[in-house]
Amino acid sequence: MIRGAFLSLTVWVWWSAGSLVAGDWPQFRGPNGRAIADDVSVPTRWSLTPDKRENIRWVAELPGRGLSSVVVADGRVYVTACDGPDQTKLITLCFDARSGKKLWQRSILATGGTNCHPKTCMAAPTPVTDGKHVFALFATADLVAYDRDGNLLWYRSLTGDYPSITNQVGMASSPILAQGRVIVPMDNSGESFLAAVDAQTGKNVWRIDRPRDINWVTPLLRGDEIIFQNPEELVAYDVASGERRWSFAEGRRSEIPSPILGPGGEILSPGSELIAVEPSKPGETPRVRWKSSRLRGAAHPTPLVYRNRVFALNGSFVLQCGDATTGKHVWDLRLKGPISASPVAANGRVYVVNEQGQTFVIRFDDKEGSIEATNHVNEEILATPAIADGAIFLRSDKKLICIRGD
Amino acid sequence: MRHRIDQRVWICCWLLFLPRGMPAGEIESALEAIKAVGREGAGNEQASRHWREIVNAGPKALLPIFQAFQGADSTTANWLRLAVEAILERETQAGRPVEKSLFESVATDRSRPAAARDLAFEVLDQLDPTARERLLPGMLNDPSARIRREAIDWALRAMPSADRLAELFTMARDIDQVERIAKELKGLGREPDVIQHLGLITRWQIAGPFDNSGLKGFSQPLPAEVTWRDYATGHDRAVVNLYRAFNLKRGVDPETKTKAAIYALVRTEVESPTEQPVQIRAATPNAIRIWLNGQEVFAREEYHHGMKMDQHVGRGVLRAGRNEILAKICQDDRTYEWTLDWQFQMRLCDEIGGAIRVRVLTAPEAEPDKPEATKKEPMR
Repeated sequence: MIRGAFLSLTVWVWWSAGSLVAGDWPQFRGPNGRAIADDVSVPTRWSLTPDKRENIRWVAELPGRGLSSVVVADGRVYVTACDGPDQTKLITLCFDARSGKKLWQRSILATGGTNCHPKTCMAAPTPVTDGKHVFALFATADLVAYDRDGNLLWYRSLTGDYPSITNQVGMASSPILAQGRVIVPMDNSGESFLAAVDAQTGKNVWRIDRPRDINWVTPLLRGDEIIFQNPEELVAYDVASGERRWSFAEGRRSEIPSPILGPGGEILSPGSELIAVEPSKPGETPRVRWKSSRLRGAAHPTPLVYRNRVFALNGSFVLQCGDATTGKHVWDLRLKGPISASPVAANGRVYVVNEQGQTFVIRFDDKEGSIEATNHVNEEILATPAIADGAIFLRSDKKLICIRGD
Repeated sequence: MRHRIDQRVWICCWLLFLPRGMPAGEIESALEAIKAVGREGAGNEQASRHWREIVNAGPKALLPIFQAFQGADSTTANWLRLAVEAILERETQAGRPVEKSLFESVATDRSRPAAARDLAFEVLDQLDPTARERLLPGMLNDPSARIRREAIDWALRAMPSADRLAELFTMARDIDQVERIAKELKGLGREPDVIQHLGLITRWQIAGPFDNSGLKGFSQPLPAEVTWRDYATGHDRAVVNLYRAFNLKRGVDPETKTKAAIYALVRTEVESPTEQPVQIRAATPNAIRIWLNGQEVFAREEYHHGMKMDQHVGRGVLRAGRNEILAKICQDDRTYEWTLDWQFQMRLCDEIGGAIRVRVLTAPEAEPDKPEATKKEPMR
């Protein structure tokens, strides 16, 4: 058993060796969902309007709708889209990060239902990449794996396997990678589960039943645990076995903003309050380090922890900043909404994109935050930006925009 | 640097093992391996290996791939589709012209599966700018829903006369096209019968309401004895408002601030002239189970996530003569404004949405309820 596990691990290490490098943005909200790209310098000002084009390296038209974020690794940008009268064409595209040249495009046809709220679409979950492969989950529960050159590795119709899967509001939870497995969140009104799918073969390593209710949270990897939550509880699962290790059920947890890591490795769980939870031993109840109703955040964006501060957008689109180690509120900054994308950070600044395509670049210190620049791209944007290798990637419903200084 | 070395090693390996001139028989057996992919990824490793072989074989694999769509399910059809795309992309990137005749012959061959024809038409459309104009006028009655849709769209661009619109109405299958043409016909003084065209059922027998406390009614066995009463909806798209049908008040009880969790049974009988496949397509914001002649053909326990025509599809076979369609429509006890509807809509059609030949036997004497127009509601 141990030998088998060792062999699997060895094969995985060989298979994926050298794939991700610093500066990549491999999943929803970047490296390990932290939404931070602090090792590169990126522009703070840009414009893509009929009168002005500044710091725009390239713009690519997309062949369909989407609000999934782009992921970037090893100089390649991957993005998903959907097209067709009922959004049944599920597209994955790969672009060269430097030039914007489209390297490949593949499409599958949806095998699951395509009903959803008009604000979302079938290309809502963000793909995940290890640098050599990209794994794209769609809201139809179609899951497909390509190598970096667009060769099909495997494809799974999860509704083919589990026919009662349904979320007619539209699914949006994104997969993540952990120990050579694609962690697939599939909370829905039908057969619900969290699954670890072998990244090489597409087969289930484990699959854990979950409550039958819709949920849009993206899991978080913390060491050898997968952290996941729904309105009832925050749960930790063992990456290797899927075994449930501990849970935390206090107040209502959010079903859209996702849990994130705090500065000391604690877990910040959004919900009726933002709660900083110190993980415990299996079976024990985690300790609460702090909680804040003021920093609980908004309906859609996931909070951000950056330079010992926590940033959360409330329902009135006020960016609220708190001390990430104590939860103490520090300052507020009103932004123009509506805002669906989650804030990201680089260069000591927080970047927040609203649905009109305006990006607020926010500087902050211990006492206050201020808008350093408001940048326009004249596009509807719901997707969280990606920052990789010195560039910011904005994804609108129709375009992919690469922002980069000279 | 490490990446570059890795890439070089890979390229060398790939060149060493590159299949050259893969014989036709091997292509076919590789395609069979792909079609053998099973549940939960069974057979993925072999299929993945064979997928690469097929793509490496280049354009000569295209015809066998299109042939392999015969008998492929929706999962394996996606493997095949991706192989066609990859081959074409390689040819295009290498600057080699792609012969379009294969795609035209597949797209126009009505004996082939729709998934193969749709893909072939999609490719042909990119390769040949004249394809639409040449082919679509003859495809208005196509057995592929996708191709028929394109053909109807093409015909609508020509600003058709009222008679031509009436003809297109009979050929349209997609709901949005049917509604669009019906609206244009109405504007021209015609009275298109959308309910009949779509095969929507207006006449029912209803029973209930029964208790659905704790949402347990959904999975409970059917009651042993049921008292049915006739009901005919007057809704312009045959939606049955169950509160209205049972003379119940819709909404939250102002005294108790509660809403009852209940379910209804509804049935109808249709006479089919022959044994024929049928799709029972339903729409409801409530949880629903559907049986055809006692056999369950669809179940969805999902409450208040929107209602859209054809959102649920049950598949079965009608026998020649009488057939019973029975459904359970469950309402929950939540009191939000968006949870207050208890209604459904159902139609009988073929696989591309065309009404099938049946006669509804139920409630022939029932006076239709007062007319009601469709409300436009967002999906939730």
